[in-house]
Amino acid sequence: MLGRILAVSATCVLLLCTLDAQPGPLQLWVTSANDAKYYQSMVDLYRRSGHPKFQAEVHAYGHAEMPDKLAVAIKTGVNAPDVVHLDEIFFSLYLSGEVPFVDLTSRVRAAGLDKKIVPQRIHLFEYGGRVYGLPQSLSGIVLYYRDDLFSEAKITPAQIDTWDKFRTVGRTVHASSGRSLLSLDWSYFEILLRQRGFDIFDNAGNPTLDSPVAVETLEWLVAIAKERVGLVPDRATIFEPTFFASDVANNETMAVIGADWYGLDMIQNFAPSLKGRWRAMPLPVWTDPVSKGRAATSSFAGEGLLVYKGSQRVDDAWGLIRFVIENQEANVQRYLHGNSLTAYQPAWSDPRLHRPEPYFGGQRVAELLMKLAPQAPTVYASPHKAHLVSLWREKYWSAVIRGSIAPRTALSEMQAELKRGM
Amino acid sequence: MRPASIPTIFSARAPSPNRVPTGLLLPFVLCAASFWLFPVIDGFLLSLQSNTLYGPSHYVGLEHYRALLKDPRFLLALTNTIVYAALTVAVVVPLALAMALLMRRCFPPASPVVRFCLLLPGVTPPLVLALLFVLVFSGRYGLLNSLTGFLGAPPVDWIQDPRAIKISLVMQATWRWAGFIALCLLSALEGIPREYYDIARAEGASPLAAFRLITLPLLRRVLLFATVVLILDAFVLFSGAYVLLGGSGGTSDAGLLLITYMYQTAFRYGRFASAAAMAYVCVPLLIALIAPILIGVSSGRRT
Repeated sequence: MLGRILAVSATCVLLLCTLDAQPGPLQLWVTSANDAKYYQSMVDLYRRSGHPKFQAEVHAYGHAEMPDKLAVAIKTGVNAPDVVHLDEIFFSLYLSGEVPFVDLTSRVRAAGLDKKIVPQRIHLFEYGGRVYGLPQSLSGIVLYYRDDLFSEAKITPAQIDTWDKFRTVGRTVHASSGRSLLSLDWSYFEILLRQRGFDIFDNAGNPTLDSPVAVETLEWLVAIAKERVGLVPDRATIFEPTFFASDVANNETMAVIGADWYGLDMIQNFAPSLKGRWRAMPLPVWTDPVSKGRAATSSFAGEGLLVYKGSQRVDDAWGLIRFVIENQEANVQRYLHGNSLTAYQPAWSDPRLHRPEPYFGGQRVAELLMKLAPQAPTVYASPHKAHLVSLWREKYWSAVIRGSIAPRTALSEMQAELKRGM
Repeated sequence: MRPASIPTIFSARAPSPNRVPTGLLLPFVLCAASFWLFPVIDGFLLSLQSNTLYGPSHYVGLEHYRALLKDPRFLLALTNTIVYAALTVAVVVPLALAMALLMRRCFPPASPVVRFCLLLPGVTPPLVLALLFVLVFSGRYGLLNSLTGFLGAPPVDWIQDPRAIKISLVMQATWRWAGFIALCLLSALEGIPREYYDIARAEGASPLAAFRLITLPLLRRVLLFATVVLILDAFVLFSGAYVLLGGSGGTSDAGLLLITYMYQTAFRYGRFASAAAMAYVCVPLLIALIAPILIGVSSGRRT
């Protein structure tokens, strides 16, 4: 009798262990409902593409809320996802100590992705020579402008192909119509600095805010704000829905600097009534002797796919990531559903990426972004990026652009605070 | 007479009169221990560890507490919080008192409707209120600037201008709390016997003297309760500042409150242990602010 009881108990324990050893569906965390819809369709597509037993659950949280939730999950080790679609700024939070994401370097190289993805973008989730994630978008920067307002002001893109000409034309436009040529945003500082061949961090991730070119770039932004060539939006940013409801809707915004996802996603979604009136053009170039090269684009932000180190399904996670990055349909769908242009170059041959965009008056926006991609600067990761972006965006940007604090002082203060936290 | 068949909770024998309530309190005590006491202890232990987001952390003792004393932003957040609490109390309490007196004197027939309206901001989730206030304060096209513009005043950037940020936060707190506190004061006012005022009038006291000598002393406990609520709210207010200022202290840190700095430190700089230390520094501060008020209430009760 005792033997039977022991045998049954042992069987039950083994069964429970087996159940416990089988992980549930792969958990994927994203930051928006739009992304959740996309990734759910990718999971279905992956299942249909030879992985019928693959199971995954996609959870969408807010853009700022998901990183908070992820930080708690990683800190406590409870309920962390297998795969996370994370912004590069929040990725930097995890670079101070042991990185909680799987080192994908060998897998990326074995798959040849380091050559197929635009090379500059691979560094976005690379730190200490190790690649921890793959970027989802090119994040190429262009100047989005209102074609109707430009026509009204008799401006053509050729007239503003350098920042000097842009400033001169901007002064004339403001003098004649009271309008400002460019709506300003905190992101422009690093975008323009990168366009000039510099950055806010060096290759090792150390802040370089007090460099003369950084000070000069910020002073240039302040100067165009003073001349009213640049207009500070109501909430001092172009990333708020209120910007589209006020500045854009009231025809006060003539142009903005933005990444591919800004035009394809934000402008189209928040200003649908302006269909046909927007266009994209290369960024005006810097012609001064300090700026390196004559890049007509830059780079800013971007999200990528990373695998949590504590995941029990690293191979499954990598399988899904590789599929989403490499699969032609996955890349095309991401573009067609108005989100972003992939950084995976082999997908660029698809004719659907070369279609005329009705929202942009029939312009082939993806073609422009592809053409500019080789000029895009490399963005390096730094453990201090989240801290710096938070300080810059929330504490200093409005103060600097309103003239409450001098650009040099603001940059020195930020540099000092980052060093204090290092 | 107590019937013999009343069921007992913990044993077949009739419990002693003190054991039943103690037993009934047990679920609450267990919940409080699980969801309050243990996290409090765990949070304190966290504040003594290194700022490690992943992997093993090590004991650093009081290092984070010492670092706070040298952190100018922490001191600024502390100053801002105290100023914000003081401004909120200074604006909300007199306003609520005036509203309560006005309601009692002028609008008795409309009282139920007015009371409901006053209660509404207090019962609306703070996050919803904060989202509404984003629309109220939002730049040139916000509701507030539209109203002030109608009166000929120039637009104020209520959220971005460092001179206006604290005022915006106080306005938001006023809208949320004034009605609820006015309602509390109205209830207390209605509890004051009319005879007191009749006697005062017969004795020749002016309305102002009656207010100073009868109304205020009898409202003292409710006024102190309101002060405590507003001080606590200033220290723990999160959703309002989070939505209004994007989880930051706003331009030049003009609206940096302790709670937002704690949030920033934990979630924007990845320093959970430092944020925990900040939270524990607030405990003696809050005790120092609130204890005199509570002692005042109890001494008032004795007298």
